[in-house]
Amino acid sequence: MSALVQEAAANGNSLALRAGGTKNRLGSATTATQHLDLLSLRGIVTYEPEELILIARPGTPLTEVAALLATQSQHLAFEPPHWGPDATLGGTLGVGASGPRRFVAGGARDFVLGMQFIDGKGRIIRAGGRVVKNVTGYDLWRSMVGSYGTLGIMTEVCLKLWPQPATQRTLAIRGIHQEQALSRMLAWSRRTESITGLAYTDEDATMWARVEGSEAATVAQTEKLWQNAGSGDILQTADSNNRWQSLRERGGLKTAAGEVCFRIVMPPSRAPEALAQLNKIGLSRWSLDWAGGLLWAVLPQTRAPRDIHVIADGVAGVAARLGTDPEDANPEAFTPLSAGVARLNQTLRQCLDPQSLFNPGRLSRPAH
Amino acid sequence: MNLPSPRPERLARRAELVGRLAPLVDAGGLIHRQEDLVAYECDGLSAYRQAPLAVALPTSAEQVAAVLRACSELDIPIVPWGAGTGLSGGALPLGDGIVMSLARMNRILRIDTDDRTVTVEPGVTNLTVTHAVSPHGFYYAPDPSSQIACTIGGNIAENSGGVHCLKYGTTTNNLLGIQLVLSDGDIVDIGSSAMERAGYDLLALFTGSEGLLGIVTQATLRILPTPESARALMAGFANVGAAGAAVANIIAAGVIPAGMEIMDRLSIETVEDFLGCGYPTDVEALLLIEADGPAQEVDAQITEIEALVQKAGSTEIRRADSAEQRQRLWAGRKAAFPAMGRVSPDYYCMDGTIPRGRLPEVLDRIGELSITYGLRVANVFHAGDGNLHPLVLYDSNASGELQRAEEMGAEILKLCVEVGGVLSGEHGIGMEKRDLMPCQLSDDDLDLQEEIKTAFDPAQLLNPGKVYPVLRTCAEGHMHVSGGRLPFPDLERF
Repeated sequence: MSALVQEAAANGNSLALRAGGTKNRLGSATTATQHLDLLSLRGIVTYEPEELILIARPGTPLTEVAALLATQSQHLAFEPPHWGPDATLGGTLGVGASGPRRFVAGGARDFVLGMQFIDGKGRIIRAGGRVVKNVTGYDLWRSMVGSYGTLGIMTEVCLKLWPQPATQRTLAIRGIHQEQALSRMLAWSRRTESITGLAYTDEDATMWARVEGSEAATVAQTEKLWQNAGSGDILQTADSNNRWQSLRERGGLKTAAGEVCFRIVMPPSRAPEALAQLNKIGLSRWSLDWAGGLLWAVLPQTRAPRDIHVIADGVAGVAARLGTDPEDANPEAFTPLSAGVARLNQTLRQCLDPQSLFNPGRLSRPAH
Repeated sequence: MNLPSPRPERLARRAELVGRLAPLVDAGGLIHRQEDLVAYECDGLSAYRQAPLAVALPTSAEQVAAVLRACSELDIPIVPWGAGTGLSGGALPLGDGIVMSLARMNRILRIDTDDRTVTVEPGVTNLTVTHAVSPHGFYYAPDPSSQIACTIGGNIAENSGGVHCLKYGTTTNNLLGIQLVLSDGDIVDIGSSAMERAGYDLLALFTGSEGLLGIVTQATLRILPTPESARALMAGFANVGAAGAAVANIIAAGVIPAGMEIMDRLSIETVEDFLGCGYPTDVEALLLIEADGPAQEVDAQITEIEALVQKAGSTEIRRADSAEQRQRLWAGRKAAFPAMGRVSPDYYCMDGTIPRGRLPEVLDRIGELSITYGLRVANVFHAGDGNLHPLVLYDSNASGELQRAEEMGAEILKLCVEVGGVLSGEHGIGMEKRDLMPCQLSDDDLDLQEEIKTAFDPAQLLNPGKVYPVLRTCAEGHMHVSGGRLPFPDLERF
């Protein structure tokens, strides 16, 4: 792999990193000249349940990881969305994909303990390790997460695992008004129960609250929440699990021809403001996750991405436009960076991939 | 370790430096008289001392930027300083540089309960954050033992942890935004109260960067609802292996306690003698476990934990059900470091991290090293996250003991790396462990790290001489460090 990178550099080529391809809708299309398929770089290297760690190669399918961990009642607590059967560990970390538990458990970056990767000079870099506490040099392993493959090629990753909660319940509060749901999500995110999911789906005006833990505690806490809400259906473990899988897998709401979906991450308290702004420019469908901190929004495709980026920026958030189809180059995918942050991004990229070998163009943004 | 020699040309610019900096900060914001600089001669690694040229105490990001620009023009290095409690010499002043103390930037700027965040200036102490948000039903999870004195700015620099890291993470997992001043004086805001940021994860890069890349002037921290309940349990074992097995069983059973601590016999005896907190003195290892969360969950967990430690062969189990009993159990553990001062004139605290399961083996080998070097070692271990703090006991007045302690410390850290761990879990590399870095990082790794440093700080003015080795070989007994007397003898250290 290292030789391959050096060869590409010498020949003036650039590399499009690709694994399962399930997250291609996120980010812009790369302008790289050569494809590099990472699916062959697969397999679990080490699984130590008592140490709560898994070391695996990036092309390992998420389903394989999940199945193995389930044998020991463990899982990836950041609940990565798959968006298809081919999702891999590397792709998940590349885009930093985190699921509904994000607001309490942390995101993909919080569960990476170490990484081996090839940098743009073809060097094999080992960063981090296999332990939770580690202050030995810059944290490059987390910096790689969410970099869309533009800083290096992961060759091995070490993840922190977590026990699967024994049971879960979901309280579905149906027909709730949007404003009430938003304020209740904020209020419930401050509660001391083990609430590990807070979402709202606009199409059926339903707020979803998940409680996880041991059987008795989960039942009692769900009951408390039910009393607080004054209404709602309670989904038992299996149904609850299915519900959150489908919430996790929204992958952007389904879009029809002429529509486009945006993923907006913002401080949860700013969600009402963002929704009000988006409504003014033709918001057609939406849903909220992460206790209000993640918004999926469908808008007419005619709407300039810049308009949505301005709204996201206005609520201290960031937006990503999802490509509408495989041919969509999606050139204005991400919210523009402030001048200072842009400079720091550039500086980091220069260190790790000075020739822009990896996935050039994948992180495109409108000019200010 | 030799302290870096001050450059004469920089020393010659002292008067000019003072003249340039004084107008940039508030009245009294520049310390430059020799007698006043004594307080800034060293951080927690107090065996090494050297007074800086001056200490700047800015009150705003703009002042920090102005001081950095002036220092840049005068080619004067800057050592960022929080409370100076760090144990690795990361804030050790340079004789030809200034100390930039953030102590005056100590305001809580905003508490946002809806977004569950608090925004603070870097000089706010760790414990002050929790005090500020507790009336709202929240707390700040990272709790380094020096939390009463250490600052958030320093916590970010060292990615500080504490005793609850397995469940709640370290600083990097609890930080959502920072304002940073770069070496050229540029002020950059990164992140907000949102759970993701635009562009690369710069917060990851800057957290734990030991003041080498920029100076944090504001931080937005994640706060958590105060758990409804917390309960603790103490279990004694006939050997450390059994205590380690109990920890493995608990995790294998799917229980993640808020904290798990193991102490060895010498630690237990010393603490019990010091405090009389009720620890059994006829056991080889003591395991302290705390569970927190919703009351019913905690009750279920404690019951399960009790069964598991019993199964692992615990000879004595005691539950702490009231807050008072719980605090008493923890008091001993928290006093482990100060208690060592009663049985040894000096001790040197190590900070490696190892995979949890390797504990018995590592302790055996530390025992062998103890015999080889003729020095006693007391071990306290964050069993949840694998962070090991061996305390090498020595007497700095006895000829050669200091050097033996230093050499033994280096051997222990190399052992940590050998079993798959790391050189530092929470104290940082600083000046202390920089020459051991090649034991863990390859030449390529170190090259890349230094390239990053140079890219962010081309003139090498931010905390130079720290973290990176002078020589690129895994040092053999060349680590000249000393526990010495801590400048904060009353601080809990664990």
